[in-house]
Amino acid sequence: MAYHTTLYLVLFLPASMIAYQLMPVKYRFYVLLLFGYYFYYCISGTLIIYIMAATITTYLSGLLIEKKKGFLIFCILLLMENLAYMKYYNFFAANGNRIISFITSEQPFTLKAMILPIGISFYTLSAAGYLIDIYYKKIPAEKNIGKLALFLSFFPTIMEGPICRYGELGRELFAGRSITMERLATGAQRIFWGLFKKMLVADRLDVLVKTVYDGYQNYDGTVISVAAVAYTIQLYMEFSGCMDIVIGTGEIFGITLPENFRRPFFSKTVSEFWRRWHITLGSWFKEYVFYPVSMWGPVRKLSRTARKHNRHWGEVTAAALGLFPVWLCNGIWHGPRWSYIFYGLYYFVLITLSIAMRPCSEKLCRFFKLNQSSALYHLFQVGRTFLLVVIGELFFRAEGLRIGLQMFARIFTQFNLSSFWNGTLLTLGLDRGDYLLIGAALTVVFFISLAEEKGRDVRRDIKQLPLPLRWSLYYSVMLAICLFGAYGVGYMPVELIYANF
Amino acid sequence: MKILQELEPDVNYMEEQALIDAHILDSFLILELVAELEDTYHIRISPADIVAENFNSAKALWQMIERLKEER
Repeated sequence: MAYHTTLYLVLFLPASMIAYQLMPVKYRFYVLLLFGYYFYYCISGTLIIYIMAATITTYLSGLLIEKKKGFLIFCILLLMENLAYMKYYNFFAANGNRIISFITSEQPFTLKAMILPIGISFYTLSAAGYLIDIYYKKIPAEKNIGKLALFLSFFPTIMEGPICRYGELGRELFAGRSITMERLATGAQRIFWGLFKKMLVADRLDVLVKTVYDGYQNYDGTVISVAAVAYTIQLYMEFSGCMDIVIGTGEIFGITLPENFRRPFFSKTVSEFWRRWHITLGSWFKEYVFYPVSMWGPVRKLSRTARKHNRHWGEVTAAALGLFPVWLCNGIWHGPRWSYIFYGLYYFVLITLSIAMRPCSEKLCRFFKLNQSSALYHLFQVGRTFLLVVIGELFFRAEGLRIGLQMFARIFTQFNLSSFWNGTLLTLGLDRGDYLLIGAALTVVFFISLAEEKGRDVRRDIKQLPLPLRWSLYYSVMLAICLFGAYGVGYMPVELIYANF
Repeated sequence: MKILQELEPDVNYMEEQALIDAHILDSFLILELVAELEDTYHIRISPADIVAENFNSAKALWQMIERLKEER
């Protein structure tokens, strides 16, 4: 029962809304909890036991840390244990076997068949953040286990996040705000926008991406480049579209969830891109890994010493020491694969290099008399960032690091421009109509994003339109989803990409 | 104020109230700022202090410095 399915949108969500609204205000959060657990049971079956265990562990740990701060590390390790074992055991076992088999012929670690509970990476981070916030005395430990259980299992956020902070979401979840027509309309608007992005663009591009990535040996560098761009767009449309549905669901209940995307493809640098893409994951790592590591005694001392010798290189050292664990964790958080670790370290290298090269690039700009605030220079920066992101996503989607490297190499060794017009692109599962539709939908998304980037509140603008015009617009989007959404005969249902992380 | 001006000269620190929320100071600049403030005022800033409320304006920063000086 993913968020874009009829089951969720037509049955589950309305049922939860009716039950919520009928309940007295102070008990409404119990309805959300009940529906959260039912939702989780529907998607994970008996694996629900893991989220229950995590909730009990987090609850008791919170109470303990509030009294004795020294237990933080122990409690975090206890909390992470399930995630570490279920998600990473086979990765470490396989690599351990590989290393040991160099020396002896034995393979001491047995690989195990494990099913990962959906959302474990998301709710574990939310729970860890809750414990660290208690440690930092930002919030008190929650005394009502039901409230904590709801925080970790709120059904719109359980599959793909956003990763929430208890201090912010707690207040929202337990307020028991009524569902009003205004909230229903606002939430539905956002949900339909998410469906538009996911079903018109992301799910349609899935065919092309799958075809090329599964049989990359059969395609030249041009097609691989197209697939890498297509995957980047698919991932954004899918993940941000899903976040629109999630945030829209929250809006219906009067619950403001944190935004996870802020028009990332307008970013001028890779660092900026990561402040706009999967924002809640980035800010989690920034707050709970980057700052604590950068400000940890020995690291602080090392950065200070480097700073005394040379201010710039001191800053680079401080940033690099803090960034390395962040990007290593970011890579490995996505899954137990070398390609994900490579993906994380790719961004570590890019961001560290950009800080290290800052004086050099400023000198270059002065030398060539480049106007850094000109529109053309901004366009160049946006294009450069997009290119770097696409390269990262090529490795991210590839079935392993070796395949990623082979695909990347093909872009340079087998680049054949004629693939753009010789019909190859029409053999990838999409016809002319599909390309036109994707192009049209992307144009709509682009202009709306551009308006928002320029400071317009598009949602408010739409709300202020005359009634007939406003509803024509809503019906157009609904109709576009019904008529052109990627489903029905010939289309395989497309899973939510980030639910697998 | 001088420390802030050195970090990001184009900002009006007398007026600006959203140094963090408006992404004027990124995490690297914050680390630099923390190092400068610690050296100048002989205080110790912990990761728990790095929240928007403490870093959003020059006034908020000064209030944090005063508090940390008292706690020293």
